[in-house]
Amino acid sequence: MKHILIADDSDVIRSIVEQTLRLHKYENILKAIDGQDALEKAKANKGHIALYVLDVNMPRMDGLTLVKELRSFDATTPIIMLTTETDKSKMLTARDYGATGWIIKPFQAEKFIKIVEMYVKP
Amino acid sequence: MTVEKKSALRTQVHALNSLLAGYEPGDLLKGVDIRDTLSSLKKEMESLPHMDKLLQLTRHLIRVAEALADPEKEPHAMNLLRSTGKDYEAFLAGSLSAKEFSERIRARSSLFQQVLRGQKEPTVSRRDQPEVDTESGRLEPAETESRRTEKGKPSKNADGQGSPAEVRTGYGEGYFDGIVEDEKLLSQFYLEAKEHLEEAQSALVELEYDPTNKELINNLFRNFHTIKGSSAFLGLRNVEELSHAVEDLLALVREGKIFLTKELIDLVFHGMEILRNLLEGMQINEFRPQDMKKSFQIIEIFPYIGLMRRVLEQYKYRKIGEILAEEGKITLQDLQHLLKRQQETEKKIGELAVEEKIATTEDVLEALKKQKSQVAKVKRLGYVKVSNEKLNTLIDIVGELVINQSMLKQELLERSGVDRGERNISQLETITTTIKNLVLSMGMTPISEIFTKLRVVARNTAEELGKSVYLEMRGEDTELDRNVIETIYDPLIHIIRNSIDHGIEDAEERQRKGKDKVGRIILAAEHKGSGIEIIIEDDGKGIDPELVKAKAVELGLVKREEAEELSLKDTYGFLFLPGFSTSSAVTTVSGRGVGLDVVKKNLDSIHGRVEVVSEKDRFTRFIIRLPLTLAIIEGFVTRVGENKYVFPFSAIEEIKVIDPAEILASENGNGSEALIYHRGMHIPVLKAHKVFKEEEKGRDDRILSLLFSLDQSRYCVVVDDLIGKQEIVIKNLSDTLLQECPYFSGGTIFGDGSIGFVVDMQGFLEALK
Repeated sequence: MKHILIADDSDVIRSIVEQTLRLHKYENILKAIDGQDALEKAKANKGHIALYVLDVNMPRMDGLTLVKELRSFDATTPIIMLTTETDKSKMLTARDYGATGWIIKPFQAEKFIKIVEMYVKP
Repeated sequence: MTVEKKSALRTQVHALNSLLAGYEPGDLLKGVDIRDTLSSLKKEMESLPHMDKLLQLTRHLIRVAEALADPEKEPHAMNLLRSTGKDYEAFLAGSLSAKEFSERIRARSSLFQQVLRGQKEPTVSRRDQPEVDTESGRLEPAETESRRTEKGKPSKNADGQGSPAEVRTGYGEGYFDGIVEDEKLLSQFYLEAKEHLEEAQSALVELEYDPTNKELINNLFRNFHTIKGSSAFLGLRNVEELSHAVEDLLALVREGKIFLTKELIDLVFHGMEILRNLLEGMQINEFRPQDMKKSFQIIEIFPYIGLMRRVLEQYKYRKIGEILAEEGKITLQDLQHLLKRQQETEKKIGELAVEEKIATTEDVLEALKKQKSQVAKVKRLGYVKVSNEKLNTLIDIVGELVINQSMLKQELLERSGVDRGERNISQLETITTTIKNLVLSMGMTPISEIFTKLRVVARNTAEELGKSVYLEMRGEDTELDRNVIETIYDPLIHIIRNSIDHGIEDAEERQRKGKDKVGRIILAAEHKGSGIEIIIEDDGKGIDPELVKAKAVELGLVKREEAEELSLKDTYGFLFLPGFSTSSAVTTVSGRGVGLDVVKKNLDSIHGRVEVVSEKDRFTRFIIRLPLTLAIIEGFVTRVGENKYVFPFSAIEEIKVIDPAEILASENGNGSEALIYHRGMHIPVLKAHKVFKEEEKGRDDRILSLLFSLDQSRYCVVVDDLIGKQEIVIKNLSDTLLQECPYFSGGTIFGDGSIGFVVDMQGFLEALK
């Protein structure tokens, strides 16, 4: 069973995303507190990640750079960006770098799960 | 089929098309919305008779919508959805006949196939070529009801979306209904938000003095951004709206559209205060949503949000009328008159002013130009980022260049009669010097970088101790080697905390002494000679030299009778010895054993010096002298044995020629020791040969030595020859060499191509022990 990697510097958002996923029987979840952390965890679990869920604004390494870094060794795993209305402009760049799509915060858990289900089954 | 049902279908297809129109590639949430709308459309149809074909088409469309999640299929899928959606709506509205509709769908069948290939199968039926048989669809156009579809449009959220001037007061009914009933999450949010507010606070304090610092602005923005994002999740709408308002302001600042003035900083501070209150309101109610709501009710946020909006409006645009009035082109009465006319006519102020012949067309055009320019007023300087590594290599290479150049000069000078060569070489010298200075300046950073941080330190320390202190800064733009700046940060923190803790008296005592209640600390930096001088001066109680002497005697550092004769400089010098503290009380702020000796040690490592001057009840002044850069130092070149050795010039007090007869033999713990008696002190005479393992060639008539002052002690270091003071470009030695010879800090190459070693005095003295 592959993992879902969540990277967000906010404890709250990480918890919410994690809770939502667990509620829907997604058990293998990796969490990262910033971009650098996420990159390290992605490298350490290379080939065992089914989906990335990344925040755009993060310390140490922002989400956009992270996408670029991830795509340098993983060309196919879907990448979902968590963004906000104010950062929406960055999403074009994110797509250029290889992000699959984006979700604007705040979002409903129900919709989030529908999106995740399109890429990974629990 | 009832009219209501048909109209419901049309409404849904209309909503679908609105969604499709607003879709941007990658918008996963909208993708889900599109799919959900199609699904409910499907459900609606399933309840109706004779809808097989349309139902089938809708099922296919659902699968097409699913393909939106795949970036490769997304563009085709979107095209298909948009064109089909339009036809669908036209058909339901009756403007497209069933036959036409059917033909159009059939024309797209290959596109459908392409998108649906590999897409998961529909749950009900399987048909690769979607087509519509309108005959069994039996949907008659119904013009009479076409207008009602408008109602299906998602209406804009009515509250909070009004014009900037429109301000809500009080929380509406159900405002707090969305709060998540999860105490754990709420308390987690509380901690997180608190942390962000703290970060924001210190960024803001720094921004007060460095309002264009991009990094700080970004950090600040992120703090509020995160608070906004998390609070929205938890349904804390008040927190969300408030942090959103602040974020809006910071977004404009970040984009360089407005300048972060003192007033705006105060405004942000004010917002943080309210946010803090809201957070406290959560905590005191132990994160029980029902109780939190009651606390929230009494904390007003809308006046602040309204204020923020008005302020933003004002910053975004200065009105033409205001500009004209400020420039003296029109009077205030004119302006009022124009404003009144504007309400009546709804014309622009500029137009009216010209019409009423109050201002000329030129004036108005001028004012318009000014209005435009104020938006982009923030000064922009172009910068290029260069890695430290590259810069260091460059500095290194320029060092080589300087050396080579002086080697070349020497060679040319030795061959006399090369006049032109001499002129050329002096030109080369000028160029090299310019390059050298330029390159060194690239590694320089203004000292304001740490000064502003020190201001936060001062603010916090004073708060901790309940004192009030004003920190005055001078010469913040003085530039220093980045490495030097990093090294002096900790020492400066220590000195400032010391000054506030031990120097500045509390308000009562200050008043008794006739001083201003607010203590004053001056932090100044300026170029002095070939280095930089930093002064930290407080107007506190000063350091009593008698107290220092008494402590020194008590610790056995000096004999009582000698203490009387000590100079002030020497007396204060004791303060920099490990474990030396005159303070009777130990507070949490400073005075826990880590003292000024650490300050001294840090400064020594970059060839800096520190000194104290003080007057009782008036002031204490720390003077720190630093070299401009670590790459080039002022050195004193000597010869010992066969080699050249460079001593740091800053540590040398004088050159002492010793008459052998002066030398006194003495004993210390390790055995015999040579001393001289000089200026009332016994000074040990150390032979550099011993450390450097050079052969001693006995010269008996006179002994050349350098007199060093280090850590409150003096030493005479005997060398064979004195070559002189010189600017030394330091080259790094290999790690192995440094490990074997810890008394060297580096090497250098001289103009004649010979090499020398740069001596580290601390290491040198250790080696003798």
